[in-house]
Amino acid sequence: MSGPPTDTVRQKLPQAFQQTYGTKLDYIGTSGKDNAARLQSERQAGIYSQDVFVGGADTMANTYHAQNWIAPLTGVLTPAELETKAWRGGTVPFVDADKSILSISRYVTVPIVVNTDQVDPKEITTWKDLLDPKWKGKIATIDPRSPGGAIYNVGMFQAAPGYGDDFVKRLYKDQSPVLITDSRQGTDDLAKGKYPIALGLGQLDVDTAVDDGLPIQVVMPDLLQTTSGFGFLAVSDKPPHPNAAKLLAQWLACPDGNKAWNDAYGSISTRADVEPPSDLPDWQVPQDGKDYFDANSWEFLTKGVKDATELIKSLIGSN
Amino acid sequence: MSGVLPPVAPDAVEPLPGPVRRLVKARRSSGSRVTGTVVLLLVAAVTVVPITLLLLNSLNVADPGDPAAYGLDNWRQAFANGAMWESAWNTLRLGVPRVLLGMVIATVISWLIARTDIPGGKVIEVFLWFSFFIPSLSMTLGWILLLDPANGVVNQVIRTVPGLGDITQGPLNIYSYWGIIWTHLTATTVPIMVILLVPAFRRMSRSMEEAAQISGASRLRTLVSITVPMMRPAIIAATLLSFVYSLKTFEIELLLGTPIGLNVYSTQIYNWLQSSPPQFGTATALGSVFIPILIMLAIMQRFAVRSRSYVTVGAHTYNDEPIRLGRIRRWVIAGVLWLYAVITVVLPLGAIVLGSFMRRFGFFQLTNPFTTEHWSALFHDNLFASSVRNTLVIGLIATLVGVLVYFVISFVIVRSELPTRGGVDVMAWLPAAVPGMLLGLGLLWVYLGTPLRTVLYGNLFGLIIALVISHMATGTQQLKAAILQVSPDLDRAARICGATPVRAYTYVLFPLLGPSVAAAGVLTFHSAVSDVSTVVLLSSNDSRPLSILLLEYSTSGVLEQASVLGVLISALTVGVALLSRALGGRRLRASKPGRRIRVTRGTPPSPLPAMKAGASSEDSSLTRTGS
Repeated sequence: MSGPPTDTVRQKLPQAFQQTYGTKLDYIGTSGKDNAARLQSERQAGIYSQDVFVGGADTMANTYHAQNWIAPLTGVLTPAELETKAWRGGTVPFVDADKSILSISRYVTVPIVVNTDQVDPKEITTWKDLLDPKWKGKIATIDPRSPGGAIYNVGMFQAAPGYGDDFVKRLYKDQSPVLITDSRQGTDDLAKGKYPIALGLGQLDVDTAVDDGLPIQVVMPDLLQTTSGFGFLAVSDKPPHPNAAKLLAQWLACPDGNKAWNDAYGSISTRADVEPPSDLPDWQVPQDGKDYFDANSWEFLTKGVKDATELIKSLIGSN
Repeated sequence: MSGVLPPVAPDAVEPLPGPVRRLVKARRSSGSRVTGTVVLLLVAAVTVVPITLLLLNSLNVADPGDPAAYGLDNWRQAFANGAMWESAWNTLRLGVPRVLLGMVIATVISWLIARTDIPGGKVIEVFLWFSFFIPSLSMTLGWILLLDPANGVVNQVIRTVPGLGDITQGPLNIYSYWGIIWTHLTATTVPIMVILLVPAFRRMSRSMEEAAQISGASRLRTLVSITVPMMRPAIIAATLLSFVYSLKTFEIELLLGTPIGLNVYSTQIYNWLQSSPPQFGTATALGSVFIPILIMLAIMQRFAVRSRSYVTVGAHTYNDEPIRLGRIRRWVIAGVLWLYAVITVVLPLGAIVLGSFMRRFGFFQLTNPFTTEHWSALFHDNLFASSVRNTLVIGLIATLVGVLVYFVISFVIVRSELPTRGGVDVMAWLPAAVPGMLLGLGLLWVYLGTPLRTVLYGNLFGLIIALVISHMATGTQQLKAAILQVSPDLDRAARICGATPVRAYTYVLFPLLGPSVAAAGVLTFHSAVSDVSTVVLLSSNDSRPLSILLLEYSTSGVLEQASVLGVLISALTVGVALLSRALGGRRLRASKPGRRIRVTRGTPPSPLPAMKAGASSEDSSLTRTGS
């Protein structure tokens, strides 16, 4: 299988699978873009090397699904895993109409992080507070033109009443934010005081920094979004080991395997019978009845991301 | 072999009638053409084919998954993009000054180490090797730990100096134009040039410098008028290779340039490859821009060194005593060099080692900031043992195969009379013209498009071939400059005495080239064990080397374990470098005075002590190389 390069996943997931079934799991930890380039070249040469994919939304929807590299999971998962009541919200969290991509994690993304030595967290209660002229040139954000979840913020603003394209322009152009590409480095720089405020940072980086006692704090503004991060599951349309592919996909969707994945990835399961890891902050757990922007919706992944990217490029140029 | 080897002792051949001479010449020329074409095709197969595939695909404008459609859209898009021009300008304004600065610093340091009697020169040389073998990513992290404007150790120490006022940032800032140049100079530019230049300086006969000094020239004038011009091929090759290295490395600009919005050629290509969907066509178009520039540089280099002889190891007696700088001056100059080594190598190296023991890299203010858990975590990583094994196999085989291939190519370029040798020379440069990620992509297509794909793709064999190709320009230029310095008269003399070609090279040429071959081997090993971009698309779970493990740690934000691994990789490379240096030196010193060369064709037996490196100048009629 291929999946994110996160070292805890790379080490713990194959170990847990092997302990359960006694079968060795070859795990390729790589970025979605690198894996897509590799798969495309392999498939052109008639080589099919991977059975199961776990990855991010963009690669999964706009490359694997768009090129028909994945098969419907309804023919792979067991009836127990297709039982609606087994999942949070009472529906099996398929992302696409073909039911070939399953969301196996879901959490609230990190919204705004501040350096507590420089910013009083109470100062920021809505995203619009970031438009204060005193923050001009002092906000760092993961470049929304680069792959990953930073573009989801733009989509969320476009969709939210009272925000829209004008807010996007005022925040991403008029406020002259510093565009960064590395979440870990951005988190460290925020803690060192290089920037007082940062947007789009990775959940794992922020959690670790907070655990280490660095002077940063997550601020919860008015708009929040949920995502699966790298927690999307799909099975190859031409798996080299069909039975092994089925077994692995079923395991990742069942309580034990799903828990192993989410514990290793540090995320929250979409299954109703898998409790969130105890060390995760409460705000990351999606609350019933609360309104979140759904960054996993098929429409947003296939159209909204493209629109948001075009908007941001028209404002700050191509990278 | 008539095309590869120069004719042996043409004067000894009895003159032939004119028509026969013309016939022999025509047949020899025909043989040369065939051999030349075969050599050219072999080199082209491994260098031109992947790059041609890349160029072809840069013209493919179809969406992913759709049938191929060709056009110039990707090229238009690349050239119409303001970011491309900005990154090209940044590349030049960062690259040219640092390479020129590096050339001056490295030439002076190399000369001092190799040609003078400064105390501790060899230790300083090893220090500089060490700084080159530390992965650029780790070295940059080390400099961030020292020169971060907020809490860099050096800045914190400087800020305690009274009179600086109550400043909380700086005064030094690694995230700046000069910060990037400084990091490049210390991590790549100066060390690689010293590694390349020291063996060349050591191989140089002192006879010409002595002649200049006997004629009344000062030491400085001798250095400027004799030593440096004689070293021109080596200096040009080292400068070009340093420039190429500075184009290809991108970790430094990625870490230090991105926060200040400074993109260069390699980071721009990286951005395009990482965008969604990946813009392979546009990235390849930008990558291709440097192919004609590099070919032009390669041709200019040929012109620059072809009009004169650069033989510095010839059949003349010479005194190999180091130049004496004077009792006080040698210690003063050594002090300056030691200070340079401490500042540019010991400090960042210390920071890297320190960082590997920090709970969180760069944060001294934490409660209990130090820990050994990152070392423990690395050794307990279930991929660590297999990655070490793969790295050793890849490194050792790529070094052996690479040095052999580079030597043959260099020998053909310098010593043969093949009509295609100029083409071979230019083609050997080609792999350096494209960033590793694109070269890896081209090789992936080549591997998958051949019937040998099951042998080449996803296993160690394919990685080794890719790494040998990727490092070809460096290895070939390094050995080319070395062979240029050795007079062909030396091995021809052995041939005249009846030695077979293999024996003549084994006992004459190879010992003279020992240090350069050792240095080429070390650089190849370093490249093989630390290259990430070329192998990232070609490795599999079973063939993952340590460099890919380092990439995985870095991209998943585990900088501390990446730092530990960086220390281990550099220790491994330095260990191999020291071993190689010892073996290379031993090869030079391993002459057995009583040994005789086997005689053929009735030639009277003759002892060969004089041909062996290590013979004293008193009993030798041939020049000895320094060691």
